[in-house]
Amino acid sequence: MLSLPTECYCMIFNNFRNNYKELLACALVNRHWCGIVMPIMWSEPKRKFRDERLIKIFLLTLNIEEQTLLIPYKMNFPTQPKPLLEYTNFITSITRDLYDGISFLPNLFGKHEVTADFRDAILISLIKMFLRTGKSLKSLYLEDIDCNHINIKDTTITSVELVLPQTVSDGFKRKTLDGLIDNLKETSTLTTLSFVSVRIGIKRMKKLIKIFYNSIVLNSLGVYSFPLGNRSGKLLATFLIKNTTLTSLHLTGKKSINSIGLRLANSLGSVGGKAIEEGLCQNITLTQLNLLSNNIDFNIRPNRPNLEILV
Amino acid sequence: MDNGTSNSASENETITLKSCDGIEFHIDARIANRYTLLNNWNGGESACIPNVNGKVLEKVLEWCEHHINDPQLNCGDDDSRRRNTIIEEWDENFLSCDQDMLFEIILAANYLEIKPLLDLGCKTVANMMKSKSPEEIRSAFNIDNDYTPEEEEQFRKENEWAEDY
Repeated sequence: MLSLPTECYCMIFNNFRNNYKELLACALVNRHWCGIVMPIMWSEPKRKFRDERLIKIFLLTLNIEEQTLLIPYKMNFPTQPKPLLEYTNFITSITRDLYDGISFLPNLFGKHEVTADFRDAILISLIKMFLRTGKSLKSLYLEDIDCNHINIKDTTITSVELVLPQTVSDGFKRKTLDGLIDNLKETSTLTTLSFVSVRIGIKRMKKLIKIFYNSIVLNSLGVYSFPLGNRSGKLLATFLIKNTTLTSLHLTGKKSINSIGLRLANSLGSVGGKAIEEGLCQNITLTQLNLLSNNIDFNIRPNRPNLEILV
Repeated sequence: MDNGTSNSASENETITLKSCDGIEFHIDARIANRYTLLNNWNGGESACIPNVNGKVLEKVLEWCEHHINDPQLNCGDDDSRRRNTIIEEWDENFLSCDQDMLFEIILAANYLEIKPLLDLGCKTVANMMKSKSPEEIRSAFNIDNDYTPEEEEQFRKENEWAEDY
C-alpha cells in the first residue's frame, strides 16, 4: 500500500469521529495508525467520563503526588498494569460528566457511597493529573472545587467555567474565587471565562476586571445566575467601553445545570444596569449579547444594529 | 447571476500544464483559477507540475473539469460537506479505480490543495474500512501488524469501552 502523509490519515479517520468502534478497529491495525487515531478517539470523552473503564485508566495515570491526596480515604486503586499510552494527553475538555462519573461509581473505589470530601479529593487529584498530562487540554469545568489546589499556569487552557452551587458556603466561595483569580493572573491563553452562581462582590470584581484589562485574548465572558451590584455593574460598564477584544457577553439570570440548587435571579441594580446599558452602547466589538431572565429593558438595539441580542 | 463560481478567465481560454513525466494537458483556464496551486503554475508556457505523473494528473484534471461549475465553498460549508458521508454516483464511479491510483489521487489532491477531491478520496478510503475488523483492514490495505500479541491484548483491553459507543 502507498503511504499517505499523516494529515491525510487524519482526514480519513476523522470520518469516524463519533464512531468509536470503527476508530478502535483502525487503531488496532498497527502502531502508526494507532498514533493518529488515539488523539481523535480520546479528544472529547464527554459522557464517557461516566464510564468506570475510563476512570480506571485515569486513576492508573496519577503520579505519586496525586495519589497521595487520596491516601487518607483508604480507597481501592485499580490493579491493572500502567496504561500503554498516556491517553489523558489527548483529552481537550473536562466536562461536568467527570463529576457525575465520580459521584455515581462508589463501587469503583471500594466504597458504599462517595462522600463530599472524598469526591473533592478524587476530583482535585484527577484535575491535577489532567492539567499535568493534558498537552491538548483547552476547556476546564470546575464545580464546587477549591481552585487553590489547581494550577492552570503553563497550560494550554483557553476556557474555564466556575460553578458554585448555592449550597456552598460564602467563605468557601470567596476562597475558591481568590484561588481562581490567582491562577488567571498567570495565564495568557484564556479566551472564554464563565461564572455560574458565583457571588463575586466588588473586591473580587475589581481584581477580575484588572485581569480582563490585561488580557489581549479574552473574547467571551459569561456571568450566569449571580447578583451583580451597582458598583460591580459600573466597573463592568467601564471595561465594556474600553475593551476591544470581547465579542460575546452573557449576563443571564439562569442556566440549565442540574443539582445546582435554586437558580438565582440576576439582580442587577438600577444604577449598575444603566451603567452597563451605556457601556454596551459605546462598546464596538461585541457581536453577541445574552441578557435572558434579567427583566432589564436595555435600549441598545438602535445603536448596535449588528449586535445579536437575546433578552 | 453570481453562483459562486465566477472566475476571471473566460470559457475559451486554455492553459497548458505538464506532468512530472513530461505529459502536457491543455485545460480550461477556469480550472486553474479555481485552485490556487494549479494557478501558481500557470506562469508560462507548459508549466511543469512536479511530483504528479501524467496518469494521475489526467485523473485529477478530469475530476476538476467535471466539477468546474460546482459552487465554491466557504469555511463553514467545508465542515458540513465533510460531515456528509454521501458520495455522488459520478464521484463514486470516478474513484472506483485500483487502490494505488486512489492513494495517488489523494496524494496529488493534497499536494495541489484541491480540498474537495482530497475530502472525497479520504471519504472513499474510510468507506472501504467501514465495519471491518482490524485483521480485515490489514488484509484490504496490505498492512503488517507490528503489535506484539501481549501489547495488542492490553491495548484492546484499555480501549474496550469504545465498542459500546
